[in-house]
Amino acid sequence: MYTPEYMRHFTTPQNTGEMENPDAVEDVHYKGEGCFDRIRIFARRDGDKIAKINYLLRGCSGTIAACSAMSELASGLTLDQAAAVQGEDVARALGGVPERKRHSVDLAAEALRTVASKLKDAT
Amino acid sequence: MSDKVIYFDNNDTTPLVEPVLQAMIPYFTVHYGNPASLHQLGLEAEEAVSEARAAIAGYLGASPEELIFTGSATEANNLAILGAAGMASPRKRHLVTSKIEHSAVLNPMKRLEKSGFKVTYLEVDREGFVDPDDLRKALTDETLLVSLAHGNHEIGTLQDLQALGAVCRERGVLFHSDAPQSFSKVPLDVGQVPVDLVSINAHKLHGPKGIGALYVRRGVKLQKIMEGAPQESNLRPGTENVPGAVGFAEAARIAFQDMTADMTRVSALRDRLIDRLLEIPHTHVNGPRGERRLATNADITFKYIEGEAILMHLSMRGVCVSSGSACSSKSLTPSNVLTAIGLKHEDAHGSIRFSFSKLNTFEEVDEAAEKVKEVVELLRSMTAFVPQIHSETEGEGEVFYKKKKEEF
Repeated sequence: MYTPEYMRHFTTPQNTGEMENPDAVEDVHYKGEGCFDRIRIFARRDGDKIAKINYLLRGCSGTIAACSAMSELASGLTLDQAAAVQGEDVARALGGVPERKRHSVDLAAEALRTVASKLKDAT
Repeated sequence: MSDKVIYFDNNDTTPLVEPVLQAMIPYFTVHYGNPASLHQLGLEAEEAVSEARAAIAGYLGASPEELIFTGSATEANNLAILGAAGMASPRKRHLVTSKIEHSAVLNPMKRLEKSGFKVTYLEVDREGFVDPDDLRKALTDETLLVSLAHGNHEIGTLQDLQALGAVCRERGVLFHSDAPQSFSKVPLDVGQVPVDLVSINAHKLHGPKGIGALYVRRGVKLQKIMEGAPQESNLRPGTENVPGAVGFAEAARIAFQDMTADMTRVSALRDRLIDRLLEIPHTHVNGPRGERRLATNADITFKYIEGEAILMHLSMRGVCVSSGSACSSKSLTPSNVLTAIGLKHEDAHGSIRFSFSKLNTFEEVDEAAEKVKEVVELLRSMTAFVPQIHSETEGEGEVFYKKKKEEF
């Protein structure tokens, strides 16, 4: 029911943990009712590109997998590109997600857009 | 998933044991008649169903004619609630249940609300108990039926059916109990306990899926909820599930044989797991401890992490459990049981139910406890919420949850 990519990211999530001396830190949380998923995202830039993303979270398997996939796909994107990433992009990186995990990919994408916008504003 | 499975999801369903399977097989292959048929094969099937009915009724202290076979405990609940409502006079349009019932009770109640019945959903205390005084206050001259589960399916609370039933009896109100979790785990004698309708099934006691039963006290009138031929005292049409009934009776025979000794051992398994898991920081038990809890049930909240993620990691390590997390479902709505006993939504999300049967061992408990500790540590290592981890204080987390709550 979950893709191999989803399971790989869930079981061995990449780039977890706090980042020392990040260029930006943002918190996002799921805005709908019932779910308490929350992401704290850390970003380091290299010129106009994302150099590295780290994150801490509270979330289900979907949010863990989505953050891991998002952190990988963000690396090397320009700030403009990162600020335009959508949930669908994260879902694609996971090989697709079931409907009930849509909130996870949307939240991970929102975290990236939020931190990318902050980096852009600081430019 | 690991090759070796530690199955701690026995409140969901139990494995069918070999003697039950062996008892059932001839009723698929040799004695395959329809009990309604008048030839030899039909008579053999009818006799098998009658014997199964008498045996199961006996374990409840009931007469055989008071036991109606159904397809499940869910169907039995529907027959009890909708069936009683179908026979109700226009002056009896009020029903009472609690906020921690199974959806197989709550949803028939909701259906009746749509057709004009009034339903009172009783509060429970922090351990999940219904106060008989609250029940007494809820009853009116219009109350038709009260439905309260014996053993709660999520947190294991064992209601005092004697006291609750006595309140119903005082007011002449029908009392139904959804009892698949407690049947064959704790004694229930309808000769002693003032209960009029009891729902049970086979698959919670190492019997087959697809068969349940409703005890209907003599004199209680129900309207059937399906139309067809007049099987099961004209209350449940459809050809009887003969192998299922035989398997149900055999499973009950085995379960009741050593019930006290088995459940003493199972409650020791439960307590050992609870004690081991409470060694993990920021962890608490949901529901009561001791004899007022199902021997088969432990429900634990692991704060700051998601039950669904715990469940999936445990599954990959060969441990099967259930979660009160909404993330296991489509709606994202947390368990009605956990929120009714006062858990914050975010804590309900971090809850795991471990449920046991007599087939489980102390070695499994110890192995599972170690795996749970490993998984909780892993998931908390990436969360921003645990106090003293990642420099986040409990205060910050509380502020977030408060803010989140205010959004709704």
